[in-house]
Order: sequence, then structure tokens, then C-alpha cells
Amino acid sequence: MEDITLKEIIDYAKINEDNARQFYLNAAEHAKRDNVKTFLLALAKQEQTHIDRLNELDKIVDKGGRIPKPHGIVKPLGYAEHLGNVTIDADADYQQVLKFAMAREKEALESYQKYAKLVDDKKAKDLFLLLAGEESEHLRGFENQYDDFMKEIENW
Amino acid sequence: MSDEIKDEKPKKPKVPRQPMPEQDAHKRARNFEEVTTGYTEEQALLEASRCIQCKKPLCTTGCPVGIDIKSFIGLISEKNYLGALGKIKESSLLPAVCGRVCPQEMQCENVCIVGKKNEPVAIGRLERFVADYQGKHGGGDLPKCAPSTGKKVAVVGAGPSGLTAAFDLTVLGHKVTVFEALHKAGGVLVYGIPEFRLPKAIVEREVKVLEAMGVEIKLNYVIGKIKTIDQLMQEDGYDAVYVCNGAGLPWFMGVPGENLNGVFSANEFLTRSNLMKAFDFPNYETPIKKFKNVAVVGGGNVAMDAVRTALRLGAENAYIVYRRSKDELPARAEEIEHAGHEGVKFQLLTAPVRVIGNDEGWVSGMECLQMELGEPDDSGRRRPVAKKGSEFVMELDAVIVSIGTSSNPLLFQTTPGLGQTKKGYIEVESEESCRTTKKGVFAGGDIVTGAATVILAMGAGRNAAKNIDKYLKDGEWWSKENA
Repeated sequence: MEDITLKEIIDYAKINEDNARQFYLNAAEHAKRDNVKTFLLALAKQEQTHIDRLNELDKIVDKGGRIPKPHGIVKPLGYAEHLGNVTIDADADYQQVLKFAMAREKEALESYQKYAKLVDDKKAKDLFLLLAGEESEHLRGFENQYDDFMKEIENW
Repeated sequence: MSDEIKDEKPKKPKVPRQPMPEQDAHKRARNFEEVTTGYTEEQALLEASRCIQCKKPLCTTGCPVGIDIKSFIGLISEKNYLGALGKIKESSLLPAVCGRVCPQEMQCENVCIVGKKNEPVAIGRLERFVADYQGKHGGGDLPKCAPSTGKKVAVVGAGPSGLTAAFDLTVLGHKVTVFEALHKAGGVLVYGIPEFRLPKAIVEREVKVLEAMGVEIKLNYVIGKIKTIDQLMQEDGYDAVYVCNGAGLPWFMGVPGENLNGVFSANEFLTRSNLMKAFDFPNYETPIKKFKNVAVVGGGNVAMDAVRTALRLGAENAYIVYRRSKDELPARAEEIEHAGHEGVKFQLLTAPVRVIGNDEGWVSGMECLQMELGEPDDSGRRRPVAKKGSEFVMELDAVIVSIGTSSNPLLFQTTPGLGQTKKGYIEVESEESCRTTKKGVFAGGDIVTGAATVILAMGAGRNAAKNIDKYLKDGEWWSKENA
């Protein structure tokens, strides 16, 4: 992999998060179910908090400060392993959106882990691992939500 | 609470808890007759004698509708069975139903003081006994109703919640019309719970009581299609509407292959068998395909009903596939036990990942993953974790998905101003008040809480009736902004 600066990594991550944010906003606009619309808007808001977090890292880099050390990967529950190609449309329900969100976080986690392996620079590697760690937290958060949701509905 | 328990000084009952007579497991696994046959009078009297008539009974607090259990058991001991039934009916419209399907082991019997040192009094079985006694011997008067208030209330849905609300509102003097989408009243009691657990004649009997009281039940009437809620209120002159149409839209797993032939929702499978009497084909017109190897995905009471129905329809192997362990199965202990005795196989800690089909588009198997329970998280919950590389295939020709239900979007699409929760249920001020975000419209039961028990739905119906009555008198409403 060519040399990549920390700023470029953060910009790349911001683009990913912003794409996700835009996607959720767009999906919310088209969602037929009010509850799904609300959930999608909440997801878009959540992506904005991730962008805010990346902006903070950006400022640290600008000031020549130290990027926090990677805090490790949160072990996933494995629910995203067999999701396949998940898509959502205007008719999507809460479960489908949750599955989509899990699949997206898993993809982001795996891509950062892959890039961390490809770069030689220690700081760049650590930054990718830091981002991977954060994505793993997001993934686990959605997995927990999915498990909670299943627990709630299956009591039937 | 502990002081109260100490006060009672539970004594050892002289007689053991009376077992419920039931059909032999092998025999019943192939017929649709009721599994349990009910107490004899002698057994009921013995069981009633086990109640120590606590000064401060906890059983009533354990009942979602607050039945005066101590009193009704006391009346059984006096052989005043109709009196006992009347006592129950002060709080619960459907004792013959609740005596059969309520999870008493988690409610009244769970807090029974006798149960602290011995087996609890079999409250549910006694409740069923007195209701069945009336069914066999007759007797009991129609409840007295207050003079007409001139107010009209529409009840959307003739399930346990709607029937309870209709009963209470009628007693209070209001004119009630129940709108039911299906061709029979009873909701889940007729389409969901199988004949072998709840004979439909019992539900029909209770519905007839309501009709005799003056409740009008309009069948085959889908609110949102034939008429909207706004039309009911603005054109037909209903002063209030109680929405209790249940959560009838099944959730699916969202895995590949779920659209193959041979995959059913438990709703469809049970509706075919129960409501449409497909189990009695060709005496009834609706057919149901007989499968050899059937998996029911889910672990609740509906899953147990579906898997036991599959057995009775002729399945050689009927499995429960559930992602957690036996301890977490949400079904009633009694239903799990009955299913096990009848030959149902439990494939636990198993999560389906895809349904496999043959060249003709029919189910031929299901790929599953083994799960294990993780370490307890902050909430103490041990979440199921997928075991990597543990994939295996079950050979099947039918998969019945029984993982829960959500709300039908129809009412939201046709009722401006009706708020919806994140999970898709009707938004209410509180489950106690049943007031929705639309003035004059109340909601309760599964459409508010998600799928729950019959008794909780009945409790919601009772709350709704109380609050509708209040609204019809004072016209007061709430504002979400001021809440």
C-alpha cells in the first residue's frame, strides 16, 4: 500500500460515515413506516456523532497531538456473519434496518482491519486499528439491539 | 412482602397438589382432543382444601386482573361453584379460557404462600373447574347493566382484550359494537390457540354471553379497509374507539430461502388448522399439507402450539429450533413438558441461517449455526453467541417461523394522528390509560405491548373500558407535548 497520511485515513473514514449518514437520511425520506423512518433518522444522527468523533481526531492530527491508542476489538456475537447481501427499501421494517446496520458496521470493521494489515507505518496502523475498534463497538451495539429485539418479539 | 409471608406461617397441606388428568401422551399426540381433561369435583374439593385462606393473600397481587382468588377458592370448598365463578367474573370475563392458557406458574401460583414450602395451590385448575362446571350444568345470570348512557363505543378486534372491554363498557351502560376482521369472534383464542389446548366451543359460549348482553359483533369487517377510524367517529357517531386488533403481522427470520414452498408463518399454519379446521379436512374445505420432518423456529407458546399441531397432522419428526437454551425458552413450562412427552425434539442453541430448497422449489432442509451463551453482560443477560464453523444442515420438508409478530400497518396508514412506537406498535400515554395520540381513540393489548398473554390483553381491555367511561363523562384528553 502506498504511504498514507493520518489525515487521509481520517478523511476516508469521514467519507464512509457521511455516506452512511446520507444513506440513512435518504432511506428515511422514502420509508413508508413511520417507526422505521424514525429509526433511520436516529441512525443518521448516530453516524453524525461518528463524524464528530473523527473531526476531533482530525484536530488532534492538525495540532500534531497523539492519536489515542487502539482499544482493541469488541468481540462480536456473530449475528452479522451470515447476513448475505442485505438491502433495504421503502417497505423495510425495523428488523431489516437493524440487519442492514449490522452488515454495514461489519463491512467497515473488516475494511479497517484489512487496511491496518496493509500499511507499514505504525501510526497509520494504529489509527486504522483504533477505527476498527470503534466500528466493532458499533457492530456489537447493533447486535445487542438485535438480540434485545428478538428476545422481545419471541416471547410469544 | 417478606413480613407478610412470615405472618402467614404456611402449614404443610394435608393433601398433595392434585395432578391434572390428561390424555396419554402417545395417544393425544395424534388427535386434536383436549390434552387435559379437567378436575373432577372430588379433586377440585381436595385441591381447594389446600388453600390456607391467608389473611394477606399474595395470589391476588400476582394476578394481572386482580381476581379475588382466596374468596373463590373458599366458595369452592363450600361447594358453591357458581358463586365461585361469579367471584372470578367480578374481575375476569373468561375464566374457562384463563384457567387453561394463563401462565399461572409465573403469576398467582408463583406467589402463593403454600408454594413457599410446598407446591402452590393449583389456582388455574380450580378456575377452570368452576367455569367448566357452569358449562356442563348451566346456571349463572347475565350481569346487570347500568341504564343506557346513549354513548356509542366501537371496539376494533374481537380478541380477549376487545371482548373484555366490550363486556365492561356494556355493563357501564354504553352501546358497544365490536368490529372483527375474521369470520369468527375470539381473535387469538380461535385462530391461534389449538383445539387441543382450548376447545373453541368455550370461546363461542363466552361470545354468546356478550351478544345476549346486547353487544353487536360485526364479522368480516376490516377497519382501515371497509371503514376508517375517522369514519366511525365522524360519520357513524361513535363517541370513542378502542383499538385492540392485536399484532397479527408475523415476523420472519430474513434469511435466504424463506420464500420457498413449505415455509409458513406460525400464524398461517395455525389459522389454517384452527380457524379453518384444516385438521378435519375434507369435512372442512381448507387443506393443509402433511409434512414428514417439520421444524418450528421459536420457543414461545405459539411455537409449542405449532409444533404440536404439526405432530398431530402426521409429522414423523417435529423439532423446536431455538437460539437459546432450555432455561430461556419463553413458553410455559407445562407446554414445554407436554410437547416433550408427545415426542417433540428440541434443537436448542441453534440459529437458522438459510432455508434450502429442492429443484421444485420446496423446502429440503435448513442450514443452522450452533450458538453458545456468552458471559453475562452489564444487565446480567447471557446473549447467544454464534459458534464459528458450527454450520450444520437439518433435513426438513417444512419450516414454520414462530419468532413473533408485529402490527399491521393498515391502521396507521388510514388513521391520521395515530402515533407509532419505534417497534411499530400504537403509541399510548401509558398502558394504564390506553389513550393514544388521537383524541377519543384508545388502544391496548398486543397492538400496544407487542405479543403478550391472554390475561394481560384482558387486563388492558379492562383498563381501556374504565378510561373510556371516564372520557365519555369528562371529555378530557392528554397532550403529548405536556406529558
